[in-house]
Amino acid sequence: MKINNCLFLRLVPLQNVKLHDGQRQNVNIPATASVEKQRLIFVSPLPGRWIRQTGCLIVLALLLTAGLVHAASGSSTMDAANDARQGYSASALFNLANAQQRDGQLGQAILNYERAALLAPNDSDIAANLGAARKKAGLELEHSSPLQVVAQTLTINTWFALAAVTLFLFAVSWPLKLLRPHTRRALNIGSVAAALVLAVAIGALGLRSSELNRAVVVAPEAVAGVSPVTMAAPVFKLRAGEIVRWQKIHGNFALIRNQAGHEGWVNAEKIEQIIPAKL
Amino acid sequence: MKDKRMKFKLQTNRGSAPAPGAVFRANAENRGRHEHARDLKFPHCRTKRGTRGLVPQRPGRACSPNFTVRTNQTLKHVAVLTVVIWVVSTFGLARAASVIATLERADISLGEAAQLTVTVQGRSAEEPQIPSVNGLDFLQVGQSSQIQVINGAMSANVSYTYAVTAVQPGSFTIPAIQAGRGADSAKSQPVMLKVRKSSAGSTPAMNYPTQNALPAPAVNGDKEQLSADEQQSFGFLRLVTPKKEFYVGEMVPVELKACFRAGVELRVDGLPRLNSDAFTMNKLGNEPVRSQQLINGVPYTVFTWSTVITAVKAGDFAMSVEIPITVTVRQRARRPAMGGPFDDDLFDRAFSGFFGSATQRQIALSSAPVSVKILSLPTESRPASFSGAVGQFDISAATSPAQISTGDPVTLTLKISGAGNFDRVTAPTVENNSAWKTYKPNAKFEAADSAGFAGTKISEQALVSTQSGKLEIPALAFSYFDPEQKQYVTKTTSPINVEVAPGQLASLTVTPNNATPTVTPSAASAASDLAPDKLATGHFTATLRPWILNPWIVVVALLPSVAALGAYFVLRRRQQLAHDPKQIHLANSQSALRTQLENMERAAAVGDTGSFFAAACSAFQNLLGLRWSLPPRTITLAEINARLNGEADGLRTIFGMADEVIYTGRAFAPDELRRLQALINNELQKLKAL
Repeated sequence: MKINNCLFLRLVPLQNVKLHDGQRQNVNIPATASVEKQRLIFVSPLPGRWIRQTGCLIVLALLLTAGLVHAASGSSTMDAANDARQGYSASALFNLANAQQRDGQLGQAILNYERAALLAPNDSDIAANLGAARKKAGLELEHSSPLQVVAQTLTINTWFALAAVTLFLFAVSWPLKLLRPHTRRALNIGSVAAALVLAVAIGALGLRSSELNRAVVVAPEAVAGVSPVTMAAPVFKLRAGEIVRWQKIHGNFALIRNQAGHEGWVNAEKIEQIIPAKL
Repeated sequence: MKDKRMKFKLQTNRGSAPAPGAVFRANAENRGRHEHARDLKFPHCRTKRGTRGLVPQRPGRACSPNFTVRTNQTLKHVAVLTVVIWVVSTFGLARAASVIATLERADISLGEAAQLTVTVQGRSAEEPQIPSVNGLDFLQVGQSSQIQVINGAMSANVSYTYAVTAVQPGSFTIPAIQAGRGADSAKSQPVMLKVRKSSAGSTPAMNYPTQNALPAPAVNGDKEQLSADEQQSFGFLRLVTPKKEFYVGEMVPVELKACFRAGVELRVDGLPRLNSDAFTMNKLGNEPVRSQQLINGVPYTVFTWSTVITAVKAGDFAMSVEIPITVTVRQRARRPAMGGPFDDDLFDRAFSGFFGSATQRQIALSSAPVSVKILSLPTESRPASFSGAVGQFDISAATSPAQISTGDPVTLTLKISGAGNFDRVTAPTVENNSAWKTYKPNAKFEAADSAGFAGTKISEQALVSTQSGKLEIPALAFSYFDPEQKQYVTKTTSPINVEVAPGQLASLTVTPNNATPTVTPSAASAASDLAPDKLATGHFTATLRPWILNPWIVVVALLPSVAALGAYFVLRRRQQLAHDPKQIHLANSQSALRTQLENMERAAAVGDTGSFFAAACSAFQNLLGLRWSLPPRTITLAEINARLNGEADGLRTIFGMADEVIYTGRAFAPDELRRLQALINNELQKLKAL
């Protein structure tokens, strides 16, 4: 069998594939053909050369995507023993936040709990200690809607990858319907399922998008002013660990919005974004 | 006979409430002196940047407004004036003069004011002379003018309004009020006013202070007469401070008083500003206290802001305040001499008020600079607990509850009350010791006044007992600098004893609200309900930024999907073309043409003349049939002649030779056939090009 038919050959167990030389593409198999030949017909692409080329291009595109995403995300596993100071780990952030909470640095502790929860959203220890820190800081616990709870079951990256894969499956089902008309029914079911999962993933990403500009007050207290100057008239006060929305930065001041919807300029050194702006 | 009444209210300009939208308005109690703004000087004023018409004023030099006439308004007024002149010249002006005095309230309580209105009718234009009444004060608060034409008889009225207040209860008689001189003078009838003792809790109906009750504003605590410039000015600004010597960090309550002469129409455009970098001033309220005052016998509208200034650096400085205002300057209209009944001062005044123009000027009114001295805080005998508090303070301490168990928290409340710079007041705290584990205190300030000068700072500190028995909360010292005594003062609380019963240390779970530990917690707090640390560090990622924020990753992730959709559209297009009849016909024709050309070449090679020309004719028929959308077999020489219209001679030659070969059996040599083949190819290219 030619190597460029690998895409289709993988549809059946290898032990059931029997290769033979010559004109595999011939469809004029008599009714008395053996079961082995019929299986071979099933796994053999009927159309010509361009179909096989298309299949190979898709495979190559998938491999390229996986490689580029892997490289660009920098998500390679690092040896923590070699260089634990580089990168982020949910467990390391959790341990650091625990130490900071014991030391009374509630703002920093809540920041690192939030970062740990970003990497491990289903870790109950992180959620429990974050709640304890918020309670100790005198902050109200955040209440999430059922949809937000569902959206927080996976990380943002996982939702994004799920959306990308399901989008690809949905898109690739359309040319496959043309190439393999006899599998149209199965492809229709697959494309509908992919579309549903895609919709869920996009919805989850939309719900989680509000978390991208969150920041935590790390100073014991911060005062938001009406303008980005030191002597600006105060608008409201922020407590350590309070979650705010980072709007923009001007000089040493950041425009933030608190949970009550009020905006003000705060010294940027007193708050820190959960997702750092730069590496 | 039905009265034909014409009534012209030429001018009414009474004191009113602040205009909506403006900060506030020092409205003009019109005293009938419209020339006031023109005649008054503008001391200590400077023009606002960009204001036209005013030359920037040098300090100490008067600036005069530049009057402009509003031509369009004057034209309208001239039309009305023409009607008035015609009516008045026809029927004449009533010359009878009279003075009417009316008292709105003839029975008032002490502290209240009655409104006295003196109406002068006729030609007399002079202001009525208010007689002096022992025990009563008169303050003019307004004026209005009217012209009435009734059945051709014209009368002009000028009403003067006064606020009458009494300094003692009793019955008073206001004697006849005279207006005018000589033959044109007239007198009003006397009016009675009864003043009762003020009852407790009664509120004065009007607030027109008398001259005795409200003296002229004191400058820096001293009563001072108005300067010559201020007497000529429409207003002045005063900064009233209790002293001229301050300490750095000292907060001093001050009053800013803006006094504007009654009758001046102006608008205050902003809050007063302090012109000194040696002081900071607390925020001023938008609503100052407004009052009427008689200063040197002249009524003024006074706006007063109470605030606090803080000295920030040592040295000798000059301090002043300024306030932006807009003054309305009215210009008397020039009336030509008419003679007759119009040559009257009263009519001239009414004419000026009605037809005169008004111009608004923006200026900044400044107070006279005040020299002050700011002293540094002494460094000698400065207590260690001094944190910068300057003023007069007192401190008290209390705890609750008084009896606790070991591990239970107790709240230590410190109250520092007094007057001074509370932003520098830091309450003392209990440090960790063997008996108490302490937390950072929470502090709040309860101001006793709007300026935040006086009040109480309350500090609450949570203490957790680590021992049982009778524990003592130590005495706490608070130091401040007293600018009156000019020395540091240290006040100390008394030690407080707390009964602590034996308890379970491990039950220490109570954490004071908003309190954070100041030290590393003990094993007891470490063993709280925190989930334990994780033993494995797990996987590390280089960044926390989600992939969706990286545009390159997004593009790469979408690339396969875009490629798949592109493949779909390519495949679909191909399939559509594969089932298109036109495309099929085209492909068949092109295939047949290639076949005929191959046959022609083979026939030429072997010298088969018949096959050569048969293939050539078929090639032409296929090509022309494809072009003309006709079956190839229907293409004949006659069809070619008809459609090509005399062109393609070579094609006709080929067809003629083919007919000759068919009918005569003529044979061509292979060389001739190859030459003909070249000719045929050439003709085919021409046909394709058509």
